Amino acid sequence: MAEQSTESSSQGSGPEFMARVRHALGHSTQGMAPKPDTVPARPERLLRQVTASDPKRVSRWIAMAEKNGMVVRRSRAIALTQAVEDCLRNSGVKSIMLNLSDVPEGSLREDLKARGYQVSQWGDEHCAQSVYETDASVTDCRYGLADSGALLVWSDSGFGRSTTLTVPLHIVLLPATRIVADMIDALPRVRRDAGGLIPSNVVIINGPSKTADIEMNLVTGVHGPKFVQVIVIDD
Amino acid sequence: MSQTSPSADAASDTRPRRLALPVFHPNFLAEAHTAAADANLHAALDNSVTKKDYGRREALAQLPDADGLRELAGKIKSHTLDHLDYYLELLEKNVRAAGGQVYFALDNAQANAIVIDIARRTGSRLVVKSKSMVSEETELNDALIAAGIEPLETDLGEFILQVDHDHPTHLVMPVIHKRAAEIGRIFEKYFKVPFTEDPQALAEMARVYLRKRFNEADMGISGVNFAIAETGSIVLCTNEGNGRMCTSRPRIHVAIMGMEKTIPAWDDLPVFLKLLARSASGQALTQYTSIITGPRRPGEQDGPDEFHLIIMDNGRSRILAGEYRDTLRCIRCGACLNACPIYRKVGGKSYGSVYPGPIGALLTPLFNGLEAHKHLPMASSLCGACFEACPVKINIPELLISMRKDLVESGIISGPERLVFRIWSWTLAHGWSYRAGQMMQRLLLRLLKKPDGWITRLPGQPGEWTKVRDFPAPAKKDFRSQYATYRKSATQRP
Amino acid sequence: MKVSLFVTCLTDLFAPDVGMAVVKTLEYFDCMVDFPVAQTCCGQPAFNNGFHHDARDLARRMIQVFENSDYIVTPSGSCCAMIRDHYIHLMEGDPVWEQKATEFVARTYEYVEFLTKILKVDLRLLSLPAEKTFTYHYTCHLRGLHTTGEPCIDLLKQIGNVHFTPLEKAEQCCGFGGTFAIKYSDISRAMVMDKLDCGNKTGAQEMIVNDGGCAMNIGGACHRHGGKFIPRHIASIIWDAIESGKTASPRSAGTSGVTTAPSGAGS
Repeated sequence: MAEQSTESSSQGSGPEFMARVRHALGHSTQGMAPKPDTVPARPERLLRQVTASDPKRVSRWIAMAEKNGMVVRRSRAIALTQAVEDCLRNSGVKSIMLNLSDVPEGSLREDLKARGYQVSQWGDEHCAQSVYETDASVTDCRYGLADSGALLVWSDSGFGRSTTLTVPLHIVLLPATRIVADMIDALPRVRRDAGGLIPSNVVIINGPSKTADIEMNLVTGVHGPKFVQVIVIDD
Repeated sequence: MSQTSPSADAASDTRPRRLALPVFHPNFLAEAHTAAADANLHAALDNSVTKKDYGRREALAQLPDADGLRELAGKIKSHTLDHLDYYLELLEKNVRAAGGQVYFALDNAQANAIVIDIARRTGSRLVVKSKSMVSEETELNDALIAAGIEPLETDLGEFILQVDHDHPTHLVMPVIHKRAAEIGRIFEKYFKVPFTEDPQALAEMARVYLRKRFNEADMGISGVNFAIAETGSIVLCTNEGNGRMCTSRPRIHVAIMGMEKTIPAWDDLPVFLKLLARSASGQALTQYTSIITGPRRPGEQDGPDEFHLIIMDNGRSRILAGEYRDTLRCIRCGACLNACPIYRKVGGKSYGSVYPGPIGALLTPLFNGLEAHKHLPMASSLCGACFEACPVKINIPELLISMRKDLVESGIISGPERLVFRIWSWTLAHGWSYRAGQMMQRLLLRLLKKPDGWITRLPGQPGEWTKVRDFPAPAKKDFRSQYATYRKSATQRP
Repeated sequence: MKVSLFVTCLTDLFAPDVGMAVVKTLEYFDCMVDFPVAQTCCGQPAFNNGFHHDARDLARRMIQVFENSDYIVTPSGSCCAMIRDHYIHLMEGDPVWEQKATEFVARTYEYVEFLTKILKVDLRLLSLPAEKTFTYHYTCHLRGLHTTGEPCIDLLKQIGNVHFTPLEKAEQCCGFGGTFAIKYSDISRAMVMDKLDCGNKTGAQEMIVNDGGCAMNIGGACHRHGGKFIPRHIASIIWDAIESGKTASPRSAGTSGVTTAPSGAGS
């Protein structure tokens, strides 16, 4: 019944709407709209800011990310717990939610629990609600973009939207091998990695949540994380 | 629509809707007069947008060929508009394929009715909104309230405006016209807290309040920066994270877009992402770029159960048909506002409707008719700063001139002015009358001059000039006589 | 090289010295200058106000008047932009006139553009009689001609005894805009006062303004509201330098002008 109602609204105006558009374009109102013969070419030279094989792309990513207001650390995989602990020091964080889909968790969860943190896991019962009350998250991320210093994540059955959004402190684990040169390298991979179908929610994160709405004064931490700390994993 | 969903029609507010865009301040001259002399407004606005304009230049300079990329972006937009029927059908198909619903709204009332219809059907009582200029265009909040549904703006600037019953005056910095102290007083009253004008503290108040409400909301409404036909995705560029909240937390997500927001393909996205934030705020990217394709998928723990996309015409198809098609390339970055010396002085309110600045000076008359907005295309010095700033290269000054031609041809420009121009052109069309005219001007103006060679008061309409500044008296001998003398003496030289 | 001067109506009436400076400077650089006396106006005011029919008549007249000219040079940015940006479009639908307009446009140059692109002048041998500080206002209509800013400033800095100090918001319109200044005098006031403030802050004695209309506007505001500088056309500055060289020492001996602007310039 609900389906019917929405379907009918759409059907109600669709034909007239499309007829107006076609009329405006001087196209026939019969049949499907003709497919354009050509589309504008997108020369890479106009877009590419960092060459794909740039050996300095990791350091460039770090420099840009820091400019964007993220705190960046480098660590070896084996020292991950220590690096996460460094992020948490003096933060007042008590509860942490883990959401790792690629980077192996290792002993991180047990280590954090042993140090007195209340640790939960994305995928636990009611996690979508409890993440709202959680102080920090530790997530991984699909790609780092060296052109802007941004992070790219997407949702799937193992990875949430809220774990990168509703916590005041977001700790991100980014394998250095996941840093690609440019957005134009990353976006085609999103489609490829996800098997052709674009994930339901892809987000490019370019730093902590912020606003400059009040007389252009910069305020960080409005609705999203106030702090984004990234651990670049070098091996 | 009326026969298929009567409930929605009944719910839509019943005021007559003759105008496609709501007009909040119809008297341009009066508003501009007040604003141009308002030092407080300039302190809040002028310096801020000027700074943003410089930020834009710096950010664009990071690109390998910003001018080439702007050209390409304009080309892609024009291509999409030229084949909009094809791309809209493709978009619809792919949104549906991703599990979303698509609605086509002919006008603002219908768009609102569809939202209300969805809200009713899903039992939504609280709607959290992320910034959307199209929803300003439809006055969605008023329509929701009339239908008994609570809308809540969650962008900090828009939230302040909602609390204060005010309207945005900039496309991306909605509350740029307010000083921090004014916002402090608004919050003092609304939250019943001691007065503060500390932006951090004010933002925190809004954050705490809105965080609670996000959790109670049934529906999130967002705008759309780009809709990708090839994948059925919508793209949202935000800084605060409220856009992500609105589209991730509530059960229902409704996105509203003007039909011109469509772009063809996934691979077109970098072209626009590399330009939008740079042009809008001098950032390489906004803090969050969300690319949303349908509702949550099976197995996902969060995200909306339903995704609805409303595509609105509301006069756009009429613009699409005419010589102002290029205005539909606009990606609402606000760069032309920041660059515009007139916007800097008169602020967004003067422009009257929801779309201010140079692009608004075109859009408002295009949506609502030229007659009621005849000052908008005229009140420009045609300096071209907007064209230079536009990331999709809309030639705004040229279109403003075309619109002035429309004003003349449609007879909206008054008879006396037409007569002046007729006489003027006739005079200039002949060498002898030109010289006679110049001589008369010289004699008359020299009669008015003070001993220091300046005229401090001119009669009639030219007196508007001397209200502001002095007018130079013509030289004793004009160029052509000086030149003739010079040539004569040169030939007489041995 | 044969050059025809399009002096423009404002320069003819209000700034004949600028026109004369252009003539004499071009001659100094070995051009044969002529002034077709039948010229009137490019039609910009009519065009900008929507009277395109009238503007078309005046454009045709312009094209006819300069039919036999090799180069047409004008000291006004906005008039040149009118010709460049709109003449061909105005003749659309009339192939004969469209062709004529296209040829005319190709032969028309703004003064600084002509000096730098065609004559490729070198002013390093010139010097002003005394040290002077300049600033530069980007007249808006030079935007599309790509002669905004740097070419003119570079030219200026070649001249000896020139100090240059940049103008804040140099590219912001001064509020002239033709009839705009009269029809919307309140807005125009706010704009020109902003320009005046920025100009006063530079400490420059003269502000380079390469358009007759902008110069009238800024000059009028300076006179009314106590401006600490005067607007001047680059043509006048260059001619000042040439003339001072002529009286002080012959052209070849102008060694004092070899050095460019002092180190403070352009900072």
